[in-house]
Amino acid sequence: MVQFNLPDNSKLVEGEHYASKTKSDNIKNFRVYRWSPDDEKNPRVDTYEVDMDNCGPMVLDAVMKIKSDIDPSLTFRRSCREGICGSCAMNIDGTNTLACTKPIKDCKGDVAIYPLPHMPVIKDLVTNLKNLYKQLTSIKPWLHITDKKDNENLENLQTKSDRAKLDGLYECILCACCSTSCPSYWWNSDKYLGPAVLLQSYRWLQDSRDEARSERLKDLDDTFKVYRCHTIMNCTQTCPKGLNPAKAIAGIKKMIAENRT
Amino acid sequence: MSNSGKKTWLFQKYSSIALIPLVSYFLVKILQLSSMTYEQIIVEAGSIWFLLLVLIFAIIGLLHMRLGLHEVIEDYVHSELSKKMLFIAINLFVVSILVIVSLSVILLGVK
Repeated sequence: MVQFNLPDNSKLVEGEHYASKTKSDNIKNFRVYRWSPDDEKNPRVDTYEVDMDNCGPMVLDAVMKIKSDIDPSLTFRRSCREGICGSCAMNIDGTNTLACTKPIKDCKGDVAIYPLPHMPVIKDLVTNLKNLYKQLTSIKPWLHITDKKDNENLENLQTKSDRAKLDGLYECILCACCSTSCPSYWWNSDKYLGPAVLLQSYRWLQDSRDEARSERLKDLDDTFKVYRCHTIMNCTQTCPKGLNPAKAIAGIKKMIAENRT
Repeated sequence: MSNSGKKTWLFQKYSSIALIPLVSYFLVKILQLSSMTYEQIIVEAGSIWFLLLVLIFAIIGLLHMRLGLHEVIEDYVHSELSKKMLFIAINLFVVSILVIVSLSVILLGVK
């Protein structure tokens, strides 16, 4: 059966409280999930008081300030800090999003920061996304063209309307916010591809230059790979780039139904 | 093991569409029956069209329910043995109800 309760060694406990050393009145509490594989301790939630008069506007600014000024042991991924790389995806205020594009002022009260849900935690806010990358590889996310065309070294032309079909698909940065917000993916992440990978899959299915559409559809026609999607729509709700993976999955189902080969 | 999900998905969609008019018809019918006398109900329930619709409703409704329950089990039950046992139980339930409905329809039709 699916496990609905956390095992005892995964239950959250209250952690340390780091009081602000400044005398500022503009203090905001950040409650951050902490877990380290180096000790046997349960995961805990540490509270950090951050002086908002000396902090940038985004949640990532606060997390970086905590690491540099308060607690250097806090572990998280980050890179571009402008919503392009997808590294700083985490659960903030109950929603999966990018810490770099989430304004602190949008969080009422204390800011709760957790790793992406239902993923194995490597340390603190860093999750193991190996399975997602393996699934991404399985859909062969590149252009499939015949060897002959490839050898001719010709430009692969596309009409403007065909190119427009890729809008809303190519912008995905694979941050995994959508997949890790999907209950179907939580229960069956070993077999269900999840919204992020399916959106990528649809991006290649929609590409007029791709010659493997039929094979791609045949490969996706499986009771688990696509059809675990029950249109819950968490993926679309949470996508920090404003994309619509649920619509892409519906598009895949329609294409599979229409595919006669 | 890979199984095609296309047919199941299509059947779910078609059966749910078919159930919209059928459920609406039976809702109206039940409301109508509540204001009829016993003799009127016997006459109404014995008409060939009513019996035919009952049978169609039972077949489509039960098959739709079976697919829905299969989905729930596939989502939440991960042990292959428990899964198989539950599938068998659902199939037995569906077949029994279908047999009961079919026999009832035949008996009412013969009267």
